[in-house]
Amino acid sequence: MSDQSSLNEPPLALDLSNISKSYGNTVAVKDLSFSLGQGEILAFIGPNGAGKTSTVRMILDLITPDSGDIKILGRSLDGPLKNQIGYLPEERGLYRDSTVEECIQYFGELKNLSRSVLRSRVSEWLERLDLAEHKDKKISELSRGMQQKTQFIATLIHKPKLLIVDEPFAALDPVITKQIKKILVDAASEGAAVLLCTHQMHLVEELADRLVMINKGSLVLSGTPREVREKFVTGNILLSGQGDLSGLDNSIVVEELERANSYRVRVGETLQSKVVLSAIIEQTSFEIESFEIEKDTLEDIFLKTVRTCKG
Amino acid sequence: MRYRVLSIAWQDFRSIVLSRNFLLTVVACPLLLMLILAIWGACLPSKPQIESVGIVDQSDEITSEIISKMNDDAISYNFVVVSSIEKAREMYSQDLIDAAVIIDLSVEDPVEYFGIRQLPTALKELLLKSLLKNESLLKNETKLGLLVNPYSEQNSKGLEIEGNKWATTLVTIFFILYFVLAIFSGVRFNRISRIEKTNRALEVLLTAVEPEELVSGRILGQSCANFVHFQIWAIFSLILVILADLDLCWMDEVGNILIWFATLSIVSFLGLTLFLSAAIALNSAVAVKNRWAIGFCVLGIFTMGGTYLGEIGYELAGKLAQGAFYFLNGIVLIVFFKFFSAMYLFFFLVEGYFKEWWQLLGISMIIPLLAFAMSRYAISRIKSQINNGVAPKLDTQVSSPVLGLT
Repeated sequence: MSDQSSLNEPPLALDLSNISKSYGNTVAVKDLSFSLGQGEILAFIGPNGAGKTSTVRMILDLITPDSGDIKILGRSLDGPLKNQIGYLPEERGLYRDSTVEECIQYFGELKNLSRSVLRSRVSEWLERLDLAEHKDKKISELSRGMQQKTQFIATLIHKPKLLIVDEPFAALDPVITKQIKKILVDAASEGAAVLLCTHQMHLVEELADRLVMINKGSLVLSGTPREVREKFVTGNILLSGQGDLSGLDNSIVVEELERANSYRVRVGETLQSKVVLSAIIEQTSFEIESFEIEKDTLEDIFLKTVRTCKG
Repeated sequence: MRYRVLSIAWQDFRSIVLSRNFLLTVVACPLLLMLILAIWGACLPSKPQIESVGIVDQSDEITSEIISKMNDDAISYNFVVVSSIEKAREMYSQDLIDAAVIIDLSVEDPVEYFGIRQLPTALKELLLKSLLKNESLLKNETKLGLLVNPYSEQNSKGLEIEGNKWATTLVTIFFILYFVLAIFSGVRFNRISRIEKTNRALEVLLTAVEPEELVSGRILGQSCANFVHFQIWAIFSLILVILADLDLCWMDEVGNILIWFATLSIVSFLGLTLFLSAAIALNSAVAVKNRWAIGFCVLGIFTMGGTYLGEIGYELAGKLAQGAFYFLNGIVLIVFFKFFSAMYLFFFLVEGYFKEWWQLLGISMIIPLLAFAMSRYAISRIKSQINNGVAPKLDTQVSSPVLGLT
């Protein structure tokens, strides 16, 4: 029965098994495995030079892994399967002398869309992203944000089942960022798998269902953003209020934060947060206005992990 | 697949032909060239009219023949026998003769002259024919530098008629124009590849199409753009030829100038444009610094120097040595390949280097076959680079614009 149900399950949009890639003596990717289900947004993060670009290039079949296996929608990448992939590079992969409409149509044609389908989809997308009035403008005349929107349309025009986006939000204003976030979420809700390569951790927290972090070509972290954050709970207490905290026991370290009347009370391994809070109330005249148990942000976790790996 | 190849070709074609640079090049180059030639012509001192030429025949073998054959209505010179070089110089200084030809068949360099820039063609022809009659002098034949164009027109006495000045000027213009075209075609290919490489459009393209499709589409698109460029200049040339009332090669055989022009177009497309683009593709694919590079560069006589010059841009960034290598190589390639491609065109346009039209067509058919073979080779090189571990990011040896993944 369970075999039957697994047969009915849709194949993984992307499945990397133990892939490795070296350039001469330099190891770019080492025994990396992760997968991405349909309709899921997976953040693929790592410091510069971690091996993200090599991994993406292997997924796109621009380079071949030395070992390991890559499956897209359950099979190895071939010609027809290429039409199921949408790739948005970090730089604008557009022709500056072409108009917005020409550029989108060109990429659509290369994805084997018929002219009639292409025409209706182009106008639909241009309307959706407020580019209709700019369709006859050359790419070079557009702002960076508008170029990015054009690039997004070119990437999505053929309704790919696997969407690979590299730093899609770099240097965009909040309005366009919001539009593009919505496009990604909508694409995922329509069943597309999204591999999101970014350094903007707040967007990972906001958008990603799961994250995979690599460093020096190897997997160092994976899980949902919540799972990852919980692995890094410190137990420290963030306090704000009025008064003096000097009466506390020497084993409790208090650190003054930049924000006025805010403090971080470091909780060592031997103490519990509630014990420390009781001590503050009992041993000092400090009037607590608010407190919270400190959890690392994904950005903190990212930095810590990179530092640990360096160490 | 065919549809995508055509899409790529159309994109490349459009991006070239509709660009401001293209229009400027197509219009400005001929105008500028004509302006330069006009100014140059106006600045040149007018040639003194040569009427009498002194003949000093130190071996006394052919003077009488020259005098009898050349002092005729068909030849405008008056030939005068002069006994010695000193005497000739004296007569020249006294303006009794306008020039002198000194013949001594017993020495290595048997013909010298002064007062004229080169021997009159008719005299050259006669000297050669005279020498050929005398078996003992035949050994000197190849040293005389007297060989004349076997396809040139001759007068009733079998002597070559002097070239038409219009034809000479036009051939110069054509030569320079086609030379420029050869350069531009290389620059264009490189420019598009460079843009795609820089903005990562190439990666996006390769997620949609196979390398074969990309290179094939590119060659086709570039060829068509070069062809349009060529056609515009060919029409311009044709107008000049008609204005100058020149004879065109094969016109007697084809009869109609439109058929002549269509033949020219087909041949030029099959020949120059397709060949150039394929050559550039090959060059882009093999521009890898490894032990094969030098071998490929030797083969590079078939490739475009312009692409090599373009490569310098990459190489100078971090690899001056390699840049210098390409630069030197580029110079050699420009001299060889571009010279020959331009020669090829103007010879068949005006001079009719091949006597029969089918000879040229036959030769031209070889060129696309060569182009096809070269592009196939280019593709296999690209695939091998991509798939077999020439490291795209970390291996700085890769500098190919077509590969574009450095």
